[in-house]
Amino acid sequence: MAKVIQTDEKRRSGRTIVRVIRYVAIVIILAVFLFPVVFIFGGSFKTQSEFYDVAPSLFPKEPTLGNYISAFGGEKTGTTTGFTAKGRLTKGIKDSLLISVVVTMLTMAIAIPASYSLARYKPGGDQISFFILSILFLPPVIGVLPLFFIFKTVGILDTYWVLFISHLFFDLPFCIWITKGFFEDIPLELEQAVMVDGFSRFRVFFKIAVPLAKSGIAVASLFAFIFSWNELMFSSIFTRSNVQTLPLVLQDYIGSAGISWGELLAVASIAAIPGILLAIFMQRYIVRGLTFGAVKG
Amino acid sequence: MDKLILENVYKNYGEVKAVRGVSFSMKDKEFISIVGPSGCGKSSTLRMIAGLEDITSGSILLDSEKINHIRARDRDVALAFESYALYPHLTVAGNLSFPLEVRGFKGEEITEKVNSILSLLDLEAYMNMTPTELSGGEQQRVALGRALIRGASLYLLDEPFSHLDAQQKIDLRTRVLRIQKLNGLSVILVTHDQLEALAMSDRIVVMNEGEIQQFGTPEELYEEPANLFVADFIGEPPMNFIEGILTRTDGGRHRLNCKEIRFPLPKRGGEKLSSYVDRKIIMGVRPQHISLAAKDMPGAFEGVVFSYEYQGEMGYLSLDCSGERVLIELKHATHYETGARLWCLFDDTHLYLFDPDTGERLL
Repeated sequence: MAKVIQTDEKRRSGRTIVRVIRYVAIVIILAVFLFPVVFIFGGSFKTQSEFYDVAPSLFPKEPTLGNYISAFGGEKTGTTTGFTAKGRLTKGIKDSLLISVVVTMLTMAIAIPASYSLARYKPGGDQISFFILSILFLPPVIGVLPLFFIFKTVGILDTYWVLFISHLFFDLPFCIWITKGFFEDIPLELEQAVMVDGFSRFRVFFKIAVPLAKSGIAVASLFAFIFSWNELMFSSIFTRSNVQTLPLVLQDYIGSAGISWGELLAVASIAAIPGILLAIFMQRYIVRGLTFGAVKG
Repeated sequence: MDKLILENVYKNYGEVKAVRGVSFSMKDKEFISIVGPSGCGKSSTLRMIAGLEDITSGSILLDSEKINHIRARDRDVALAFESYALYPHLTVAGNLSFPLEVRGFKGEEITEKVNSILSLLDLEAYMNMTPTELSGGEQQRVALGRALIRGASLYLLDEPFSHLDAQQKIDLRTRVLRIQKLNGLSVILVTHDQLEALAMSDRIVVMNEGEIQQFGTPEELYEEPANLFVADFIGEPPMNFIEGILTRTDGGRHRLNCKEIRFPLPKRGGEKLSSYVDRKIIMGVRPQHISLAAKDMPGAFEGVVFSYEYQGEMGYLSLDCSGERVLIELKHATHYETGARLWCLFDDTHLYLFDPDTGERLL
């Protein structure tokens, strides 16, 4: 009897150790992932001088909205280096929004029918699907030089068009890849049943396939939007002053005269908002999307 | 007038020849079943009639019109899928009304038809549920209802009862048969269950390895199987088959020499059999056509009870007759001890003989 109790206790203490290790691991992982977020968000409320404190802190000692006000070109609080022109940020947000929305719509308008046809008709066998997927593996930088000269010849450098087109190149393969998996998940017989019932292929596509693949379409649109919203390299090479996306504006706060930390972090916080909001609203779809559609490929 | 005619229809999937030269015709208001083991080409045949598969060669005529190149939606056929293929985003009622809405039916008419199908298939309680909330059997009934709800020229049912339990199966079978007879529907049923086909059909197409083995009424298939495959496939429990050498006695009668027993054969079919003398043949006899006999009856042979299954009204007795296992169906069930010695007798008006190589029926 005593022996039984002893082993029971041993087992219990063993379980406690496992639990402690698990929580420690969770805390470490969370700290790694959350540190930048807390740093950016907390820092955006600090005064410029606080960034140079010898014992740096995560949270502002005297929280101020000054960074946000000055970033939008309002009255400066006197702590920033302030080399951004008035209204740059507003233009950055506007341009980024316009480009992300248009690129997302263009991408999905092409990706949805393309992935459906790849899923159902398998044009070119598996080769075309694989080719599309393989574009994803290319580092985008190798496209920059040829694209630059093409865009220069066509004469669309520093216009919205140059970003619509260049973002499309790299959004499309990913979105086609995701939505294709979702269309493949729809049982073929379901579509055949509708056709026997009297639907044309087009009505099957619009009324049955698209509604059933809506999680995948939502996830793909979200990614297309975020890719475009965050994209820096193409924007910095293909545009100059006419088009200014948010990441470009953000870059400007790191100047030769120093880094305007407060404003930089305030703008970064603003830039992060759409991604966070979309992720929250579409959480349900994202989990489903990443587990069902994307894994299948 | 023939409702549907298949002429020498072939279907190849790459190298695989799924359907090979299938020809048959069905009359208007007829109930036809296509039966066969898995992979015999029965579903492919059905899908070609529905327009979901291209026809490699041959032609299909529906209401005297060649429909080879007519799209599924323009064929006026209704199809119930074995995999149900219900619309997951619609309720049961929504699934049933869908084909009507597509065909331009309006509000009241739809409600009326949906309600009558719901009551017919016992689905009223489920009408506002979505397919994911239903069991397999319930989904199958919805799939069947969706096929039956609209007035089609031809109804195709692909294994519509396969996921139902035995009780539901028999119940739904009688209901479907009643609708078919009352409304004069032309129906093709695809099934692997020969009892289902026998119970429901006016005529049956038996298929194996992409070819039609026999096309006839249930009685014809049961009484006069065209070959070894049909004899084996149709009938429950299956026919007994005994292999032996055909010999001729001095008196001109044929006999089958098995390992140790000699079975005298009936006088019928003499000419065809003569060419098989001294060759191997297969004799078939149904369990219903063997009876227990007294020891001194002419033609009676001895067997040892191998096993006995009691099944209420009847019993199945498995006898070991000098190395040949023979199953006998007994009407009046009593108990038989394993190992007991019995005598039995074949009903020689119901003996079948087959060529073991070609499967062709000789008698």
